[in-house]
Amino acid sequence: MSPLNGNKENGKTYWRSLEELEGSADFKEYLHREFPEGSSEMSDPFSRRGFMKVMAASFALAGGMTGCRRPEEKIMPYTKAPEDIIPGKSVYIATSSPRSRGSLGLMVKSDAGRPTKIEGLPGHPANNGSTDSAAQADILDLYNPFRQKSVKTNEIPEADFSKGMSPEFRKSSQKNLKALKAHLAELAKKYKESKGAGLSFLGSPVTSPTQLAVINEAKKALPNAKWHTWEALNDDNSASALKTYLSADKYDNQVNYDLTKAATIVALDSDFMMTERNSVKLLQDYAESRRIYKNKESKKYENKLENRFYAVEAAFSVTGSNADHRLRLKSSKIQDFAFALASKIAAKLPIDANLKKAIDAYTGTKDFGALTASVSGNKFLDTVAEELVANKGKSVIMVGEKQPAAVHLLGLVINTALGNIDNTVKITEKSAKSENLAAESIQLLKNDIIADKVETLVILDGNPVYDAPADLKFGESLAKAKEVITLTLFPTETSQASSIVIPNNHYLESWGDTRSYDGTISFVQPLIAPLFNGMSVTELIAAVTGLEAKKDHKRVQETHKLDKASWEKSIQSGYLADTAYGSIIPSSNPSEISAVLKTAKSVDNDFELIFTPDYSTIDGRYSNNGWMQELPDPITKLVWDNAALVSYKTAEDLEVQPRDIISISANGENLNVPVWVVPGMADNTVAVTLGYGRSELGEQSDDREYVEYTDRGFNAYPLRKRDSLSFVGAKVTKGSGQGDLVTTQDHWAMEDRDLAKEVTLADFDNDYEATVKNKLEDQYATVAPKMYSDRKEFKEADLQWGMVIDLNSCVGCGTCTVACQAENNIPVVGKERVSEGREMHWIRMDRYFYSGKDSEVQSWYGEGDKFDENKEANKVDLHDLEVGALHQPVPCMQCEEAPCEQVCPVAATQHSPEGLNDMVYNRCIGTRYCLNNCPFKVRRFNYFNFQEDFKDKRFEVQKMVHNPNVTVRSRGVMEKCTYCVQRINEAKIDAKVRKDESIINSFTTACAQACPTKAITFGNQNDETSAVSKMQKEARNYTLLPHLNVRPRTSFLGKVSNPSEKLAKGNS
Amino acid sequence: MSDTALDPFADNPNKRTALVQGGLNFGQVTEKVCSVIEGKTSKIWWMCLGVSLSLLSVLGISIGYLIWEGVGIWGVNNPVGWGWAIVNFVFWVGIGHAGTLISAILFLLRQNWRTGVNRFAEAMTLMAVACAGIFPGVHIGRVWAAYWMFPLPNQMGLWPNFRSPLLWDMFAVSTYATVSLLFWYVGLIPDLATARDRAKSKIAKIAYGICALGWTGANRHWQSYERAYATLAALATPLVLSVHTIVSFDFAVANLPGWHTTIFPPYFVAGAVFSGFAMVISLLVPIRKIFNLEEIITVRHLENMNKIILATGTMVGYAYGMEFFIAWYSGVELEVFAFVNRAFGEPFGWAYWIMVTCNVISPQLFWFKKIRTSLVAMFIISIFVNIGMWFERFVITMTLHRDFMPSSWGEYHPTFWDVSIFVGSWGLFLTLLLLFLRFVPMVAIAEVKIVMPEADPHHGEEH
Repeated sequence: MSPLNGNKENGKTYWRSLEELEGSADFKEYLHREFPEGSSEMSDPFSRRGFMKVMAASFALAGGMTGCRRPEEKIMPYTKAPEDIIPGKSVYIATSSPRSRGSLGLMVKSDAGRPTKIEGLPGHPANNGSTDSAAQADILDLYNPFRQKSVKTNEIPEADFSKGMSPEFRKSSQKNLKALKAHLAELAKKYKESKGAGLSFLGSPVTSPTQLAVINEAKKALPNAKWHTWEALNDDNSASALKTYLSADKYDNQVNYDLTKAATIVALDSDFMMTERNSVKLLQDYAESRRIYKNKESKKYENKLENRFYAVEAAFSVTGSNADHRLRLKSSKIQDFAFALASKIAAKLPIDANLKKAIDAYTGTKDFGALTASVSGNKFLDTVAEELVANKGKSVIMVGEKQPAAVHLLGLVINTALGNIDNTVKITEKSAKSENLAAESIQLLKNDIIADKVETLVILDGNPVYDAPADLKFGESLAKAKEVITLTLFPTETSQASSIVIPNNHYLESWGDTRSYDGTISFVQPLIAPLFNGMSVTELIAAVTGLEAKKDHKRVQETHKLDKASWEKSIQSGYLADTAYGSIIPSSNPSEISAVLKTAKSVDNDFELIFTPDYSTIDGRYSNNGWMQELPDPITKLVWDNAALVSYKTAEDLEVQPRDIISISANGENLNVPVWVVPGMADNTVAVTLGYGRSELGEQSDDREYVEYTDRGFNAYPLRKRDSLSFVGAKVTKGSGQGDLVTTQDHWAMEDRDLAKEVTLADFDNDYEATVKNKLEDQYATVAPKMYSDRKEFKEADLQWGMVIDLNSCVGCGTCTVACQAENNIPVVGKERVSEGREMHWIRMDRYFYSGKDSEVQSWYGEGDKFDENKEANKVDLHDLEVGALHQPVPCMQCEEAPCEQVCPVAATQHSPEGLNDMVYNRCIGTRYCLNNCPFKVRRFNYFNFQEDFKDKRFEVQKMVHNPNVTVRSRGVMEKCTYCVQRINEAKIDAKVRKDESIINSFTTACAQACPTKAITFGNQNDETSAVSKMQKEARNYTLLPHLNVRPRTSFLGKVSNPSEKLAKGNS
Repeated sequence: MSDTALDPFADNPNKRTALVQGGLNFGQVTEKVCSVIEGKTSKIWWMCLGVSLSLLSVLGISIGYLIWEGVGIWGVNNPVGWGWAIVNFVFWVGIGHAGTLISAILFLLRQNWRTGVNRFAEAMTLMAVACAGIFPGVHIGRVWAAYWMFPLPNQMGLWPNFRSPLLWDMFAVSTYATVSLLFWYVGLIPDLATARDRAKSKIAKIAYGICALGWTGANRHWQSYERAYATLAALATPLVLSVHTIVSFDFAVANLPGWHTTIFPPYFVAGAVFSGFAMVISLLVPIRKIFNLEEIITVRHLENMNKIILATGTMVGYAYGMEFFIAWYSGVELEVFAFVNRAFGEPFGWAYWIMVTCNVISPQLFWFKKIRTSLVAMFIISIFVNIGMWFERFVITMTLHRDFMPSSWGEYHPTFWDVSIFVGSWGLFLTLLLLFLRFVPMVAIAEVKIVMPEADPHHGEEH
């Protein structure tokens, strides 16, 4: 309600109070609420069942409670068990997740015929045993009851799933599929005659050799058919730069990096750890190159960190938060920076005269000092240039996909000049094939549709109605195609606009193959028969184009032409070794390059809008995935939403507080969205993440008891046009009202408490105990007594579990959180529940911002407290800071003197002889005293029955995702990290049965297994040779809150950063 | 006998003001007290009962919905595992302190003035403890398993954890409730017999007759009665101190800065007495008027209680100050932070100042005799104290919202159901109170008579 829209008829404005006139948030809240704070919970969805329920419960109280029983469930044992299945024993099968941004090799655990957990495939060149969070979460998609479950056309309705996998459902969905196949056969016949004229395909870039073979076959059969590709997060910029650079005639190449050899890493707007292509591998290599070990006793380095990482970026990315030095720059100014850097390097190293001229022409017109007026940009630039030259041959410039082609080209030029090509930078054949740039390709498709050249459009993948460039108005033009066939895993905006929707098989249900970013061929193997009656991409292409119908299994075999033995060996190992692409040594054409560089123009935007991939939904493809949605954004810690991210100064200029609505105008469109303040953002820049505001997800808001998937965040795609897929000049003003954003950590600062610790390499050199010293402990110099650590059981048990988390390797990606969620059957609780503080993650990722070296971060809260500039602790200039963030995963500390155990009245949490702080769910009555008394706040309580959904027949499918070795917790019990006790016991049993002690040292927890940087080490600390005991002897090893004398088994290794002396404080 | 000639504080009891005023004799005292339970049930009583029962049904619905849906309907969350339920529990237990203090400790200290108010205060204790008893039971996640707290032998050999303050708490409160009930009932026997003897209706005769346990007023009865009463008083006395000491352990034994303090036990006991007396004042000021008992429950009684409020209020204030001092003196940053945050932090700083205003500042007005003896003033101040003491428990419980790890700091917003169950507990309290007023002699007739001048063997003798 706008305060001034009162009675306009008599020309007067009436207002009730000054607050109303001001339109203050409090007053609006007051207007909105009939009842006081908290009482609108009555209208909450979960309490909507209201009165009857309350009365029923009251009656139940009166007498019925004693009669309540747990619902009975029938167990269906195998009457004839398959020979190779040992009940209770998991089977691991190698497969791969096909992705155009870099396929991963996977090892999937299967229990009694159903896949239950995805893990990275050890030894796979692309990810060597670990994954990212998305791969961990993929399994939830497989069992999502709101997948596209049956064929649906304008004539045939979707099969009724309201009773779950009922015989009726199966029957009618089979019928639908049969009808579809008949229709496709007709189509094939028709297009055989026209040789494909009128038939168009749209898919994402192809990584599968088999799919490529099928497409080529189809192209031969139907030469007139058109093939298009689109992907919202495409690599158009680097592909076109490479085309210029190599003077190629096709977009057939890609850049890969080898960070293991890099001494100086410069990332220009590149979030290579998270959202760029091949991120898992790059992240692994980065972490590997920065390992640092120094033994506590010998005080000698076993491994010394020797590289330095500079980041230049606009939005605050996970990558940037880990940099040794980070420069905030507007997206458009990064091009200026790149040219200036090139010019500095050109001055020191031999470079083609044409190129030099082109570069100088750009920088000559520009005062570089002006562009970095607010930051120490020039010094940063000088230092970076100097260091790059000093480390030539082992330095690397990485350019992010958000930067235009010219910057990519410059990146290649600089890398060439530095001699990095073929050392740290590799140019190879492209793993994700497409004939054209994505933006070109979809434009051509749109033109065809408008020109009535498309009779049948087959959308093989993706959601173009939602994510195509806004100026194409793809959704509207789709109506012009006579028939749109969409193959999709989930109902989407696109499937809604299609005349035929076909369920796509999940990769865990299909045969296939894929190339990883480096080119390694991996096989996709099904772990379960397709749950729903759908088709695979290759099947659909073959059916529409009239190719011979073959099983995918056969097609894959045909593609690779392996003999039986090597085929079996390959699918067992999951990939074909030595199939990575070779590096191309380019013979560049400087004149062509300089011609392109000359066209680059410096851009001046007062205010800039950046579109970035979302860490949870990527580009919208994980909108249906609760694990991803509830994984807090590594930087903002927001869940279930996106927000407009601005810097502290910009927020001040706009006079907005977090959650206030701002109005963004760009590309002729307008967006009113809530703002979130992120220190470290470039000023006068607003970043929005893509992938939210989905209107069609296949489910309704009341389909689930506690979780709502619909209506999450805002859709930024309408502002994203073909020529501005990454950033665009914008106008931003303060809007009215507040948005509803939920964060799991609204406190920025560490309050000077020595929790996550970081030292510089120089300091660590001088003082090997630098990370161990703790302010809190210093206050208690006395030796605290052991109360229970000396208990007899401890001495008797050989195995004593411990965990060490290396903050130097952890970048904060959150993969551990999702892996833990998958392993331990942790429920998704939904945005509302998180806002109430009921998130359930057993391992959370704490994020603390810091600035400069000696200033811990200012207290500036997302909600509650307002920033008080006058407060002594806050007198740090937030406007002009090099801001970083420390990420700290916090699982249960498994304290030896556990404060939680002592206070439980029913002894539901107890210590095991092996040092685990065990939680006995069955015994827990839910007093929550343990939660209160846990200093680390790692205990999680089931405030509601988060398994309520499973009473619904439709969710029977989703039940299959549960790990059978882990109890599914019901309402009213406490839960927490168990160090994956189920894995411990499995390993112990295995070791005993197989008489092989090495098993004890070879298994690990889910978080440690998934971690891309191997930051988590778990094992038996009683074993001198185990990895964890080595880590405990690390000089950087410290525990949290040592003064409490709780003796945690989980300890941390402090982070070591390597800042340049030249950029050190006081050196300006 | 005019009051002005006598001094309520005189050493010689004969020179003191009489505890019962208005020149009532034994018969009139009996008449006055018994008329309350013997007269016709007034419409106002029915109306009050109606209101109380509706509130009680709010309690029933709140608990019903709670059990149906889970404690998630409250505002409790991850850092703040305990919310209003625990606040209410401590609040009600605290109120339940006045009765036993008056009847047991003051009995042992031979404070004769206690006789006018002890019955009522004890009854209030029982009601408050009944209200308190609800909360620990229902605030747990699995209500149906609450009995696992008891050391019940079972085939699985499971035993509760005797290291847990919650377990101590359960024993402390249940012992306290049992002893208080017995004490109250034993004291009630002679009066029940009086009620039986006076009853006109058959039902009342039988009911009071059964409850009076065959009391005839025989010498032997009186002898046993006095022995039992004194024994129970001696038993109840340590409980007055222990129960809130142990309630305070729920907090003090935890390692949370702001909870983990040794000052808690005495501070909680003082606070409990403080709040208990305030509640007695809040209730007695109107009740003595309505039931025409001003001559038995005199202003002197009330003034004495106000003095206790003043004393305990000052102790509580001292404790508040000392908490800050110790936090600073200890040099532990986390402690200092906890207390500074309690008083000045968002979003609960205001609650701290409500607490200080109500608990420390308002009772200081009782230094003035005029205020101490003014019915209106004492009523208002006692209400303030009740509010303040509820907030004290709120402030202490909310210490949870910012503890060791800033990353896990959170907030707490009470929901509709948090409020409704608290309001509902007042329904239980008031319903029990109304039933008590209507069916049980609210003044200990026999005991009042003992302290009347007529009961003195030397009464009427000249010296």
